[in-house]
Amino acid sequence: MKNEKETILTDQLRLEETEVYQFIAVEAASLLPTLRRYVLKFNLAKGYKQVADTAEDVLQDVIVEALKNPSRLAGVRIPKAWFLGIAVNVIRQRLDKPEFQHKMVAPEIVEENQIFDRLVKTGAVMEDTVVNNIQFEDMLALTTMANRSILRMAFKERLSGEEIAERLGVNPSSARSRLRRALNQLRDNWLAQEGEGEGYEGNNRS
Amino acid sequence: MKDMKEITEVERLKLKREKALYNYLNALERGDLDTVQAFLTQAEADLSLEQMLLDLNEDYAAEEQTAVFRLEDDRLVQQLLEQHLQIATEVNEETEPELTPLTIMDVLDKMKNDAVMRGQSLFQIEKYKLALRENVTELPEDLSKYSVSHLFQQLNIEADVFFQKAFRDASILLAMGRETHQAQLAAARRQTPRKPGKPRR
Repeated sequence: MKNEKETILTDQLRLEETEVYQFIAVEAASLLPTLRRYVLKFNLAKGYKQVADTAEDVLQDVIVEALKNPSRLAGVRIPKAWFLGIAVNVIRQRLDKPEFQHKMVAPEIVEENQIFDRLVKTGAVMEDTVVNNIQFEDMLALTTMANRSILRMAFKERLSGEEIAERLGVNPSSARSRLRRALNQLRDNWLAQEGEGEGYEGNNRS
Repeated sequence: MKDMKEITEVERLKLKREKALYNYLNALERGDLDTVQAFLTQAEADLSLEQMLLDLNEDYAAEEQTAVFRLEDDRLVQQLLEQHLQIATEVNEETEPELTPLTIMDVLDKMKNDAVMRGQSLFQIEKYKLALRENVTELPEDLSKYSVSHLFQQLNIEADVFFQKAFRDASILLAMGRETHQAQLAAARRQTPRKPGKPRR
């Protein structure tokens, strides 16, 4: 009886390992561009060659980690985000080593969420609520004409990244990059106007 | 009467995803591991978020490919020049080829070319190019945000954070391209057979 149970468990484990193995064999290499970006952005290496080599090392560690714990994804679709999540953990472990301590940077305190939420709130106006409309246009005045246009699409017309991309004739990722640049420019100019200490909440008094 | 412009649940969900991606990209830019990790955990269970990640991955791959093609093109032009004008330099196996250091103007030129390709405004770039036209300051090795900001201070240029970021990105890409080019030249040199009759020093 015990042997039968053990056999079933072993078979199950093999199946899970096979699923993870297949996923790695087919998909893992395609994620190298993102891994290289992580290595670069998290300051794990500098220069193309070093970044490429380090990303390959990270990939190797991620594969080892993924194969260690295949049961976590038993019977479900294996998401690429899961794989990248392991990569971030591997990078974190590497950054914890003494030689990288000096490179660690404290996250900036930024009002990313406030700027986004405020645009959602003021962009979603009702026909007769002109106050929000004015606030929305006032905020947009802090950016360039091109940025205003993309911000209107996102927050006034509430188009998704794909829909904005279609309208601009670019791919969704480029559209989102442009939206992010527009939001960050708006945030920086807003902060410069309001004074660093005050932020968005201070402006809500009106 | 229900307002036609009220946000629907579908739109709310779309905006939530766009906001998550916005936070992820900003976190990646400033090296914030926790926020990146939180986004990836969220994306594990959300196919749309995962698709956004894959779109980005494709973009990164295309960007890298473009950089490699550009280097290949440079190398081809160099080869043609050497072939037709017979100005090939002697290969000296003991020394690396000396490339001139990258300067601020190189970066501004790259930014200008990129802006032309994308149909973006050249006003700011041209303004700084004009202000720095005689300047030959080399690009610092450290390309952190702080270092770039310090560089602009030294140059007495009041560029906004947005421009500084674009400058930094262009500098990193240019420096990466230069390193790859050097590595390729070194590899090519190793494979080039020595011309007969040239005694080794």
